[in-house]
Amino acid sequence: MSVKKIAATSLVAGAVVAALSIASVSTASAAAKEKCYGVALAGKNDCKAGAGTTCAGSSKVDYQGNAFKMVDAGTCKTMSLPGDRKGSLTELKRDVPA
Amino acid sequence: MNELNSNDRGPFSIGSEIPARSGAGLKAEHVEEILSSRADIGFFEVHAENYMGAGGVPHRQLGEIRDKYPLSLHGVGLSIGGEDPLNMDHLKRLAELNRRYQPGLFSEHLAWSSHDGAYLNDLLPVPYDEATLDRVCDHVDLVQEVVGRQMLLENPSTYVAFEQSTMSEIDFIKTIAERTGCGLLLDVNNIYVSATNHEFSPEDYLDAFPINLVGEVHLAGHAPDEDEAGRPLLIDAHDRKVADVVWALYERLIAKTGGLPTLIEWDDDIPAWPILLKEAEIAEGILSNFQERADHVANA
Amino acid sequence: MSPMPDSEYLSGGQSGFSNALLDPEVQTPPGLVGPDGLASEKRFSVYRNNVMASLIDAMGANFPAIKRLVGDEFFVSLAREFIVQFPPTQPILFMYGDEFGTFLENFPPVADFPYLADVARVEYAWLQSYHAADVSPLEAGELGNIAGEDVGRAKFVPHSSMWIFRSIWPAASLMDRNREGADCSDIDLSVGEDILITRPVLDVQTLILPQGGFEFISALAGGETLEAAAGIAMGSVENFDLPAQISGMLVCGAFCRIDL
Repeated sequence: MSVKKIAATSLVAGAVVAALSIASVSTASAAAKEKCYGVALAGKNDCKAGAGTTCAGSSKVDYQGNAFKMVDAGTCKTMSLPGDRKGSLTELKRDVPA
Repeated sequence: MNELNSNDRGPFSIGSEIPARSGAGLKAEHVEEILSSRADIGFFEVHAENYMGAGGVPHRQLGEIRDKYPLSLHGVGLSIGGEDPLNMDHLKRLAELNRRYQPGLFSEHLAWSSHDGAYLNDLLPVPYDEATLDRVCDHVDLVQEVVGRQMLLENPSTYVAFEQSTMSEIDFIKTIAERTGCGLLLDVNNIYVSATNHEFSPEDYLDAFPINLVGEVHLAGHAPDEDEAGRPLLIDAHDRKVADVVWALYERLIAKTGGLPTLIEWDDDIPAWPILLKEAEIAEGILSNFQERADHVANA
Repeated sequence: MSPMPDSEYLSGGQSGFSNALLDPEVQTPPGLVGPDGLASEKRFSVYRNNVMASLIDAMGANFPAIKRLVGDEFFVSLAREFIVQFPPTQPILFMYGDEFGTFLENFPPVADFPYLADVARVEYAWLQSYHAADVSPLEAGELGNIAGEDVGRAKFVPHSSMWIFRSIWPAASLMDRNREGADCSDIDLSVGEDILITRPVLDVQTLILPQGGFEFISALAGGETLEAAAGIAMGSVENFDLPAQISGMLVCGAFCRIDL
């Protein structure tokens, strides 16, 4: 084993010892709540299983429209892109080649 | 538990484990309240496809429900009426869910939803002819073989009829049950929706239906619309309370069959849990009314 | 090929039916009638509407942040276009939308919002993590049990729920704020994020990794040894804090097992 290799091995071993001595590293499940690595985002998990199935028909009609409506409702419009561009959602007819 | 289901249910052991009470379609947003209030309800039914993930919250919740209530498993995506062969991966997932949760009842639809690799997420209609009959029977046979148990097949709500149909919906369904040994799930709202859309008498349909093969009943709300000629066109929307006319049909059914497991389906614009429970209690009331009458006759 | 049975010939069978469902320009298949025996466009359109409305709802449920970013109305048009190009291929709807990120990247009407693609990728990964298999995350003690001279050779098996991604956009913050219904006008779009998603037990965690974390955890997840991964991270980031990164890697539940 080269000197360099031995140095790397002991560096990693030392780091592991140091890591394990960092408070409250016991199990990930318990410690995950500590949020001590990077930035943990707050997002709640309640009822966000994504799309579910249905065996029903839909009484909501008018999904047949083809045109993209240019709307200002989305939060996209509240943010500036680098260079201070605001950007816009383009109106597009489906039959117009993009 | 009341033994409401005392009359002869035909040659099959349909509905074992699920009591002849009312139940509700399980929605994730209701689970906490159901468990904390220890809701008094006969059973819960889930859509199989919502529990085909590997783990996490959905299975945790379903396990907790299964521990306390009888469970029925209802598939919505197998495409039994499809021209394509059944999706074997999907069928195996259904078999695995049956093995894992041991539901008291297992049902699917007389409809198709997949074609040529695309899943269309609706219960699409089939023509009632010999070629379709053969294909559906083959598919039901395969389902019962792979899942290793009897399934119930549900009558559809339809918005169009096929010119080439050569037999009635009832004859079609009855023949499937005879050939495959499957049981039937009778959706009373579907009867009313289809009867309105195709201008036949829902009472006549109910009276002609092979009710001795019915292992479960579904009830749901429908939405009114009309076609281009101004004829009423009902949509099986599951987004509101059960209509009075459908309750009346249900009473007519229960008067003939006696108690049957009866599910309230509410899949869109989902209400607070107490409202859904209230619908189930109406069904329970009808079930016990007829039970009291049956008891009275038996004791006389 | 054997001749088609009459029934399937008349209506074009399920091919004709399904083609007409997804494309309103395609004529209603023949042989489908109302109670008067006449064809009815309106009746067939109930099926068209059921398919499209239910799949648009499914996309909205799977991508709530994208829906809020572009607004409800635009989202309907966007989802509709996606559904026509990439209909679901199987009935499990929470798995639908894998291609949405790539679709957004290449879809001209959203060209001014290049971060949407990555937000969609993060949302999709979040959902798959939510449904991933239940596996116990690695206990710190397991690493502690390995002798000092062997620990550098340790390899780490990624947890079933973990997903790691480098975005040139603040894709995790955009997802989080929009899912929470929070204001996002102060998000600096010039700052990228290294994102780690894990689900140690039931709650999905979305982490923005500290410097070097992406290199370190990606290398471990790619099968590198602890020593090699540390080398890669130290080589790419100045002042890489190895003890803090190892402790973080254990805490976040990104791995489930050690292979020696």
